[in-house]
Amino acid sequence: MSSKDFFASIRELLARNNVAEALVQMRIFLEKTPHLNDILQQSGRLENIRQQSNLGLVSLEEATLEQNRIRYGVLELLADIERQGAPPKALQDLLSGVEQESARPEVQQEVQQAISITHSKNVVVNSSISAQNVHIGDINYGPAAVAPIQPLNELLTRTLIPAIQAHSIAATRFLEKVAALPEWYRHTQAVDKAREILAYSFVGVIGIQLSKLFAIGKEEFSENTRHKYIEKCLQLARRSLDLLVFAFMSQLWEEQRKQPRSFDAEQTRALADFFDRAFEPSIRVQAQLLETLHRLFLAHQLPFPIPEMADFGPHFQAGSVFRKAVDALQQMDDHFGKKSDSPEDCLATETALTDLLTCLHFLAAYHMASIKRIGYWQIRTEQPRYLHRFAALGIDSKANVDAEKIDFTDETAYTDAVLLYRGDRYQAGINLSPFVIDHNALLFESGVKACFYRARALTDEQLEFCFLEDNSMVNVAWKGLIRPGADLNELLFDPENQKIYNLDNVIAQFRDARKCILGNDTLSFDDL
Amino acid sequence: MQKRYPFKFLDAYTLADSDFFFGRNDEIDALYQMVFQTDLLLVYGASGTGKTSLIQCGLASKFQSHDWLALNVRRGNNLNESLEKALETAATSVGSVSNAADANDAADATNLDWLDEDLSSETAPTAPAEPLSALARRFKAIYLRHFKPLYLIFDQFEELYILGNKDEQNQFVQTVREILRVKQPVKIILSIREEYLGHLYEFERAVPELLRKKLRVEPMNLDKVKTVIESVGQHADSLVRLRAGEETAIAEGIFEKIRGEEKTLHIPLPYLQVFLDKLYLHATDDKTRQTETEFSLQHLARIGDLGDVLRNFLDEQVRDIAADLPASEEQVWQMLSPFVTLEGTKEPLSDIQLADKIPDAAPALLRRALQAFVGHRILRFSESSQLYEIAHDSLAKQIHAKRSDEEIALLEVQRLVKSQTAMKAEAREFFSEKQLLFMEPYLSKYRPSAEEEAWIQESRAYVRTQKEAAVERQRAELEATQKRLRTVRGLLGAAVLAVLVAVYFGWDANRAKVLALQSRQETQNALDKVTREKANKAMLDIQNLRSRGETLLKNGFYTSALEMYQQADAIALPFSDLPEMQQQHQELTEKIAQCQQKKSR
Repeated sequence: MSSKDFFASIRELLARNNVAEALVQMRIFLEKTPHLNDILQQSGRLENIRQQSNLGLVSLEEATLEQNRIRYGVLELLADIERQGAPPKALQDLLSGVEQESARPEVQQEVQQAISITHSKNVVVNSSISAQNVHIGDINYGPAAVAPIQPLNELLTRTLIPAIQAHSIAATRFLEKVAALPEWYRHTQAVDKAREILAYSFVGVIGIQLSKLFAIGKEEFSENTRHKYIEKCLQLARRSLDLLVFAFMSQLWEEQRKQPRSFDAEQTRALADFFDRAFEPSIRVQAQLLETLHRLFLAHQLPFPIPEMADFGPHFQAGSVFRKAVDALQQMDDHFGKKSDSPEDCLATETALTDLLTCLHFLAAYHMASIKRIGYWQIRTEQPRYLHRFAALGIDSKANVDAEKIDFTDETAYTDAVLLYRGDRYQAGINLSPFVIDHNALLFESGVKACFYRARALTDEQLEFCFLEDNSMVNVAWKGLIRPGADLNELLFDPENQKIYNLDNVIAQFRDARKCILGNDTLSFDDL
Repeated sequence: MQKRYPFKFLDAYTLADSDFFFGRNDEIDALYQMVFQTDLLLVYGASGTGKTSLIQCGLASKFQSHDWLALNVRRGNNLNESLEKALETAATSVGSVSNAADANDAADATNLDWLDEDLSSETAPTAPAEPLSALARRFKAIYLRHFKPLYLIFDQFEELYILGNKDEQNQFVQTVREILRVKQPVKIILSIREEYLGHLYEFERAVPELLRKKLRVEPMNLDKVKTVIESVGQHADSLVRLRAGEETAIAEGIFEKIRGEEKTLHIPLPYLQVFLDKLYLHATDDKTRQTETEFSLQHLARIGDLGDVLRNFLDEQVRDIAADLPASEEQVWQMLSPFVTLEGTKEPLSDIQLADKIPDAAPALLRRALQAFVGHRILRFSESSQLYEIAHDSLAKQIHAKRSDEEIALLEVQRLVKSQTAMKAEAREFFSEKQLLFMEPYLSKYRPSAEEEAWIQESRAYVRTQKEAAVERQRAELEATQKRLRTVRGLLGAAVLAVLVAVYFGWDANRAKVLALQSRQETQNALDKVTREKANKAMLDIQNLRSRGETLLKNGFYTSALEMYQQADAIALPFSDLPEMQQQHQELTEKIAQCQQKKSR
């Protein structure tokens, strides 16, 4: 390669926005020249701005501007070198060496490593260090590479898309379109499209969590990113299991109200733990509860809240994909936060989550909605009708009151319900309240604030819920607004009291569910 | 960890400063809750209350990086263009590992046009899907690039109404309506000075949800100031400490110093920031701001009374800059003035625009001045828009206050001229004479452009033509009036003559009437006399006849008596008007009746 070709190739890389790779090649080229410092400085600036951008410390505008400056600096340097005239023969030899070096896998890996290095104080060029640990800047690197073993979410995406085909027209059409594209999951635009389909297809709250997981996967592969990624995978697994458990509990409650049944000791204990738990259960415990509920429904021939779960029995057997996934996720959860997270940890977690969601592929057939308000009409000459205002829970959910959907119907619906349903008929869906609540609806606010039941507070008469958006805790406390002899009309005249009434009803429903399912009323806040 | 200088002077806090951002926890929590209750949020408050910091630092710190993709959009020269540019940047931004992969994609020859299709549509695959609008495509591209909710933050939103025109405002409103309907998770946050809320009336009519969720950022009261100062002093990484045991007193002392003589419950935040910086420099004399220090009551006492903190700060900076350039202070103020509108708000300018506004200033001086302004933190430079702007609204007010009456008049002239020349030719109106007279003394200083000068000349010509036409009209009116006067005079003379004639004839007629009346009276008198004489004669006859009748009646000659009486009555009858004759007639009638009665016996 001539110097002219080399410079042209560098310019080509810069034009294609491959600034990192251009810098690596320039470093090799300029190793024995005074210009090395310039390139080292530019490399440091690039890594710095990527780190800050990933952490959100600078805006995208500022980050792009800085990259443009770096690119301009490199171009200026190239122009300077060209002005200095034709390089000597020694340099020509070096150029040939650069060409050969660039093709080596180790150098390719170093390109990736250059992208991943954060806050590097001294960039190591053509390093032949072989040690257990290398300290660069503030980061310690082990012998394993800090690049991901494979891009985050690649396995998840390429496995889930075909898994949800039966429930998603978009997934089916997507696979038809990419049939002619080998390894489509390595093709950025196609894989982003697939992820969009997954985020929009999976049932409301799960779809939103998947979108967050994809966002994390797009960030630079830093220690912080790995930590967040594993954490989000674990949360996703929890929420998916929670959703199923809540659906079962809601259905069981309904069935018990129609016809009370007794359960064996193990089942009773598991159900009581659900209502009385003081802490969020582990993934394994939640999966076990799901299995218990499944057996209970089979034993009593109860209609499954999610028909697809009727044949889920084999998944609970030892050695099944589902069981292994749960175990792997539990193991990851046990060690989470106690050590640094490696790329292997990320891949293992992703694999387990993929297996779990593949087993739960039918969740792509379901939707969720929150009933915000119900209006009532009855004129003399007609039957009563109801105006349901509801908000969809999902990635495309809009928070404005004008974006709420309406349904003018003669069917009733539960107020403040959070519904899990299939198809278009939300009226036929399962009401997940009070295990899943829309806190905004209870307070007459637009937009959805979906919260999952987490635990019962040990003191005070409160239930703890988890706000899915940020996993913060939302407490719903019993206020006891309605007491015997109270004038309801006067009380509910005040809108603030209406809100309290709604929140009290969450506690009241919870108590009733417990009573119906367990057949007794030994809840500690017994003055409800 | 290296200790940091905790004060931001007049700059807004960003996410990087979140550990030094205190005193706004309630507002942050409220804002965070609202974000999940609406897709369009309004943040407003007085200038200098920290709206920008609240959003860019406070709210941003509530989100993890994968949940927050913020695009901060300032108006620049046009808000719609700035938004378009920001969206384009976000769709192709750095920070994602897909950059290198994108290059590979570009090299791939596979047709991927179907990626824009809505594959979830229930209609037949071959049926063409409804095409996405350009804006919707943009948001889709951004979502696919990042998979994060997008927050469009329009800071200093009042600039749309201060510097923008109706077309720009209307276009922006339509864009917001469209954004609220896109499928992707997008939220809009508008930050505006509260004195401009009234300008949002038309916006709200088009977008009713505009004012449904809003947060007012209150000025800093004593409690918040205490929280800020004490928290800064307690932070492990802060260069500034507060002397132990004096924390509250120092905070209260600072509050009182800034409040000064005014008995208000709040102090402006920019004043607090500038004062804290001043206090630091007073304590350390370290302009690099790297020295650790401890604030104490003693420091506070030594710094003395401050008067208007910002004004003093500005005066000091201008003095220093004038000395450095070198230039006079007046020149420095003149170079700052173009960055402030007539209303005392910020007006971002490029270096070229500044040079156009101050054509007399040497380019080299202007360049040095701009660098000095930025270095002294009076101006801020935006790389993206390549514009300089005053660091804070509060400084803009101070600069405006420094303007002379003449300078204000000059700015008014400038605005007046530009208000017409900015429009299309067919929409312009000529300047009135009053306006031209107002402009005249300042035109030599203002130095209008060729187009502006041409319009002024056309206006003068128009006014002149109008005046000449008016004069001509007046003259014609005067002639007409004179003509009318003459006619009136003639008519008046004729009328007078007619009156005289009428009066004469009237007098004559009256005299004739009087004569006639006299004659009539005389005639009547004569007639009456004759009648009287006849009546007297008739009376004599009647009396004779009555007498004879009486005699005949006495003697029983009733028929003859009757004849006598009847004759007498016949004589009396023509004179029945006379009372005496009426009496005679009555008596005679009785006599006649008597005679007839006696006769019939």
